Amino acid sequence: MFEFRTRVFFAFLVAGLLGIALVSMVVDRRALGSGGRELPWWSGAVLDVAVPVQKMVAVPFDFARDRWTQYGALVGVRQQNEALHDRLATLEEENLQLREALVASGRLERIAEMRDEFEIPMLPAELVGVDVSAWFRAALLDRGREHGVHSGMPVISEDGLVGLVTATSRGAAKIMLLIDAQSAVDGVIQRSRARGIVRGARDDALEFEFVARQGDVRVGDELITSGLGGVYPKGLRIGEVTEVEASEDEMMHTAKVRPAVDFGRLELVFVMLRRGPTMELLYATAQGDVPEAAERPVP
Amino acid sequence: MKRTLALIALGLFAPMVQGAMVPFLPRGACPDAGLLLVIAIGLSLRATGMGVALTAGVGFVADLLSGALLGSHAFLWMLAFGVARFTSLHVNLKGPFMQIALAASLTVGAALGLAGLTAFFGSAGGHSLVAPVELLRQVIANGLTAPFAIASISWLVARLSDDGGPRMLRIDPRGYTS
Repeated sequence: MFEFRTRVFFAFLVAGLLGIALVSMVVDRRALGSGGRELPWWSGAVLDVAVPVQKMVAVPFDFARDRWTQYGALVGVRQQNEALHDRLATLEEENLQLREALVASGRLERIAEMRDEFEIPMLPAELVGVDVSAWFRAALLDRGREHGVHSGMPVISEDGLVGLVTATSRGAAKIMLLIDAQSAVDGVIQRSRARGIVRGARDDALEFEFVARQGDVRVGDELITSGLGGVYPKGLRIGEVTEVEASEDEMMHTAKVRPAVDFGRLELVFVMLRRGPTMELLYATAQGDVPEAAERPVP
Repeated sequence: MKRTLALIALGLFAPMVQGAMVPFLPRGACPDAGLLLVIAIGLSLRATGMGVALTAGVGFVADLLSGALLGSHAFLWMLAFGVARFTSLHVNLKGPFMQIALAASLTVGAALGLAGLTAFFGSAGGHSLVAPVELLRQVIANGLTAPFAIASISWLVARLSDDGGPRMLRIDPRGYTS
């Protein structure tokens, strides 16, 4: 009798836990589709604990890597120094010409005004850990809800777009990196304005899918965010086209893109403390609130 | 009680430590601490119910610290726990080679399972999640560390156990545990 009860209890336990896991997946998928999620305290606590633990564990590894990098840097420093001097001279010349042109047309002042008007507040955050699974590309930041970080906010670095906040706890945030297979960003080629979708591909690269027209996309072209889709602001650097796979039979072409951000060396990032309009709407709908912008009548 | 607390602490901190180490190693070369812990628990813990519950907990922690859908690691690792348990009842897993083979097979199974679940829920955009080179690295890393992980967890369970130590892995040809 006791053994029978134990077996029934065990069967219920296993079925219950498997059921909880399956339901979690469905709920999580829905949450991701509506702009991410604010984690409840019991799961958010895991992220909050992970931040100091991962910072502590990374200290000796960081130290060893810094020493190795410094040694490696010393080896070719003279040649690099000369090359950089030449490049600096060229860039200074170019910069001077561009400034002259801007000042002459009176645009510099207007650009400065626009910058003040549209500037999005940003919060610096440290990347303290990366995905524990080898198959996904997520990262953990040491800033969370108490610092004003919420799911759906874009994350950038000085080089370009990094990803999107997908979950937050009180003191930490999880971000989906641009190179994750689940990531999709609306991008545009800066030169030709050809639009398409940028997705994460293997080997920490990106893939740009676009509707083909002759000469729209070339190797070396700069890819930036289009601003369409309402998730990321317009004009953030995504990467550079390294290969175009042209097939005349297919309407959709693909190009390989090297990300502007070196994800292997990413340490400090900036969270843009404002969601895009689509994210804001999705998030508000999921929370049961209708944002002011949606209530306002169209003039 | 001490044993349970120690395993919970390991389940909580092992993925965190792994998350901090991953950036310093090539993609896939860092052993999957969570999966190895699950295999080791499956082979060494007597109480199956507690083993399943611990596995689910470790899986949820891994889900929170990765880009996977919440529940996917927990779901697959519970299956992995079951496979490890079932295999240990029918195959002699005492030597390192069989443990390496088990860890390698479960690594492949878990990776393909994650890719399948992610594709099923429509999260991945066109690309398969699992790259062959990374999978190979992960199989080698997990396979090579599996005997150490299993030995360490067995030792820990034996040391902190109050119900007669860990399960015996060796099974004689008639099916009786020795």
